[in-house]
Amino acid sequence: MFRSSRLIPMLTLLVLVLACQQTSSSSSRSGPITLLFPSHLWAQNDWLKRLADDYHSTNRNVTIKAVPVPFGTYHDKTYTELVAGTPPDIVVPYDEQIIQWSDLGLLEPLNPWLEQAGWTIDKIQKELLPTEQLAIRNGKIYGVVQQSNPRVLVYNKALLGGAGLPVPTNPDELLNAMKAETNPSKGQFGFGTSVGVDSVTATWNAIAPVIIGYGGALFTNGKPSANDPKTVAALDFMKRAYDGKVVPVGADIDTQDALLVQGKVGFRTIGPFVFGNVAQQNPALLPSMSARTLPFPGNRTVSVNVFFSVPKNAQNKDAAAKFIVSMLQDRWQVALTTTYVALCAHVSVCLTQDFLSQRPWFSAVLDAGKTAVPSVPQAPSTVIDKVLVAFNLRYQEMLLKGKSPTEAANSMQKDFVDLIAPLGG
Amino acid sequence: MVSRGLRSSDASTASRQLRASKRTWRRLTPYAFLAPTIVALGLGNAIPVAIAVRLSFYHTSLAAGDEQFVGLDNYREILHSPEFVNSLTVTAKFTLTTVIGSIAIGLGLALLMNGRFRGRSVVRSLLLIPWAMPLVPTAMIWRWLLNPTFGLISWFAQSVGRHGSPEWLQDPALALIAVIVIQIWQLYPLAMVLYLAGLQNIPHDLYEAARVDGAGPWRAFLHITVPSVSGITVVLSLLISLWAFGRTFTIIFLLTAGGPVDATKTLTLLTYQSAFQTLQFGLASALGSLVFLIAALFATALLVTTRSRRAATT
Repeated sequence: MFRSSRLIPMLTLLVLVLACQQTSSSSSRSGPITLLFPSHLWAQNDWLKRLADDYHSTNRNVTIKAVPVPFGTYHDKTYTELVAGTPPDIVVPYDEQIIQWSDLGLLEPLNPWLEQAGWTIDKIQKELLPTEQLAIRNGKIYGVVQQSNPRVLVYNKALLGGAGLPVPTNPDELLNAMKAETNPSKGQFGFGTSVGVDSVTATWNAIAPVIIGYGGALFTNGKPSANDPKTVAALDFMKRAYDGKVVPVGADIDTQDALLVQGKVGFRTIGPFVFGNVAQQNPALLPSMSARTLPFPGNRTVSVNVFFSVPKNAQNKDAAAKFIVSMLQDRWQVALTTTYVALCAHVSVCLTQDFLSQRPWFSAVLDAGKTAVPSVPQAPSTVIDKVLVAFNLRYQEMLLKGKSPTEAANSMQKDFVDLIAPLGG
Repeated sequence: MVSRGLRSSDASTASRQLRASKRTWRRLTPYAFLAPTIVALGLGNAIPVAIAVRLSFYHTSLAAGDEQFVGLDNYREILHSPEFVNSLTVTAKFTLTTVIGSIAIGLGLALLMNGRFRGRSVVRSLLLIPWAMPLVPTAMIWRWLLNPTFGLISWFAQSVGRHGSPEWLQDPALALIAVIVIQIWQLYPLAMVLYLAGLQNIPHDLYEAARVDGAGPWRAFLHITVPSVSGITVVLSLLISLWAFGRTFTIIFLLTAGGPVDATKTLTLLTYQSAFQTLQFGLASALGSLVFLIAALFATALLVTTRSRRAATT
């Protein structure tokens, strides 16, 4: 048993020691800093961990705390933290979020730190990927693009060869090849895409390459264009694929990714990052995988872009911004492309001859990158989320309730017109 | 004499005061014990509810400086929205069938488990498993079971010669049924356990007397069992309907996320979507307030009806 006569001096001493520690850490400008960085990217491969370790080795007082989180609810959770004023030090917005979060004033402009590292706005506009423009508002740079994934047609050469068919060059050939490859008894399907069981964003990311690939768009120059004949043709392609039973019904997009890695899906309209997944999870399949530009008549595609940003209310803005800027060093740009198998921000640096000669199919990604537009619809930023919700509902009605592509497109158009009406659209 | 009389009157006054003070303490003791809970509930529930009600009169995405007072506009928008009507209908169907299904299956199984047979303890334990299962694994397992391409049920159907199984979670006509069945599967053990406890408290003499009077098993069930467990039925109806109406989120979100074609979009899912997908926190708060109001009215009505019925029978 403690006697109170001993306990009181011990507690007093403890309080004094803690108070001294507190004073010394808060008064010291170079005290230890821990950057809180929750992201799904920690679990994908070791590039981010290597970058964090490297940054720590040159900035000994800064430690980057890796918090692996699932992707599914990452942006919802992060938004709540941003508006509550208790965000982490670094966030990972995608196309949709970089627009919304910067418009809502939730992100810190990174100009001073970029300029300090020699990245003036002119240099950024000349040398970084065009998609970096999404993060620039009135000369303020709210994020740095970490990677870009232009959508291409990824295919399994072994399945295609098994069906005795050449690489498809138009939508009809593609549908025929998908049908020829489909064999449900072997768990084998021609096409992996979203079939109405995914989140709103996942559904749009899966269907956008087809719509944009056909030359269509939900919005053009800020005006609804969902019932444009090209958009209707794209929806018709998706309906024919679904009705032709070439898609694994009931499988969400994660399951379809897994099926592709297992060699059970013939085609996907997806980014080159899947080659990184295959290399990690099923390297034996890698020689059978290839890619070409989308075989749709519009000769365009979309890219899904990942940004790193610092929240306005982050605790350690300076260290966080410096960490983000550090990834623009050439060696980390090269490492990113080889690890993720995606486009880095500074393309002229990261695409080495070695990389390209080992991956001849990557030329399709480069070609796609030239015509790729950001995946987010060109709607006013305040209604983007509602646009995607409405799109998802009408797309599901078309696949699952027997509506025709024209009916679905007309319903979308009406929804979009109603949405922008209060904005004077 | 006088002083003795005064002393005795002082003593009796002091004794009265002591008794009064003891009575006061006794009256206050329960409140003292309840106080921590009341404070915790107040901080944890009342304050967020008050904030949500306040937000329901604003247009806001919660970002700083993004609040605009709009009066009752959010409520007007909700009441005129076909999405709200759809969600209210889905929620009503979901709640009603979940309550009836859980109570009926729970009571049926409790009657079976109240009998004597070999292995009764094992069967009872097995029947409790759904209640003990965490929600997320439950949803994942059911999703896999019901998957029309790779699911166990589909495989079983194919192995007995059928060409695949229905698309339970993808067909707008079947998805709500599937979700309700899964919810009932999760909740019936609660009803079963409570009913079992109630059944074991019914005096056996009542059944003996009924048998002597010529009542068959069905009449005994109707006139002895049902009235004896009516208190449990009320509690269960209240609990399950409040859960199903205002709190069922995880299982539906993980199974269908409200789809396909909004077929399983309950009010809680619509509220979540308004807040976190379309960033309309004012609208979401108004929806939450409406759900709270409907649930509170329902609970009050049920309790008042039960009390008045109980008062009439005693």
